[in-house]
Amino acid sequence: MTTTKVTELRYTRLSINRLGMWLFIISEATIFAALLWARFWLEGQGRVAELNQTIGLVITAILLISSLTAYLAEASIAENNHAGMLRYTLATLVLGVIFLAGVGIEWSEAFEFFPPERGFGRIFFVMTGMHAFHVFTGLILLAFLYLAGRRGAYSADNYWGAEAVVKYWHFVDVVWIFFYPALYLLS
Amino acid sequence: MSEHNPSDRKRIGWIVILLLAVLTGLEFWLSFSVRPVLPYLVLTAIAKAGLILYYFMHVNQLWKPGKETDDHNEGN
Repeated sequence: MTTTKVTELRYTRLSINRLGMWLFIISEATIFAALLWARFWLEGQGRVAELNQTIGLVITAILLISSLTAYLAEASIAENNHAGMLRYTLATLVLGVIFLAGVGIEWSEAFEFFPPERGFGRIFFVMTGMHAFHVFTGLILLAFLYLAGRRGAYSADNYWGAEAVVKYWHFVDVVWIFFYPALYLLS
Repeated sequence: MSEHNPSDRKRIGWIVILLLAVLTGLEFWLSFSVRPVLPYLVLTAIAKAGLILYYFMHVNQLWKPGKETDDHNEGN
């Protein structure tokens, strides 16, 4: 009876952890939803011709691939594959850094053609800036995940920390899934 | 993350990323080929987000708690 009760409590705690994580994600999503709304409110469906479509597509591909590596990191630790988890976490980190570098390159061009003080630049820099900030915090979390993983903090029986960080990273990707077409592909 | 065995999980990951790549290519092509493009972009974005939410983020765990899906402890 006692063992069953303890087991039930442990599973309930994981469910509560997950619910809390989703509630946090939903709260963050409202910020991005507001920015997405502002994009259409301020600029309609227009976009500037000077947007670098190549960079936009490349960094989108990089972020999507990083979602795969993050997924594989979680799948690895679920099988007690510590080396795989570390490898894919590091890959996700590297891809995230490359994504931010691509955003930086895009910004350097964007400052010239549509500066942030007016027009499309206003919403472009706020949207990409807010998203990039979340990517940056995701990278910090991934770094902690990697370091904790190296210390053996996770196992197939206990990897909530890894699951939470990976969920956050996927959320960042989902945001870009909506931001990318809203900024780059409309006309 | 326990509904599938390890090889299944990896296969699912690769299938999902392939679908995401196809949908991204499709929306890129649509943006230069179709007017108005907004409805189509909304659909592709929802499809892509749905794939990640279900297969990568395991959103279904929210309404299916229990031993069959939760085979790891709460975190510390």
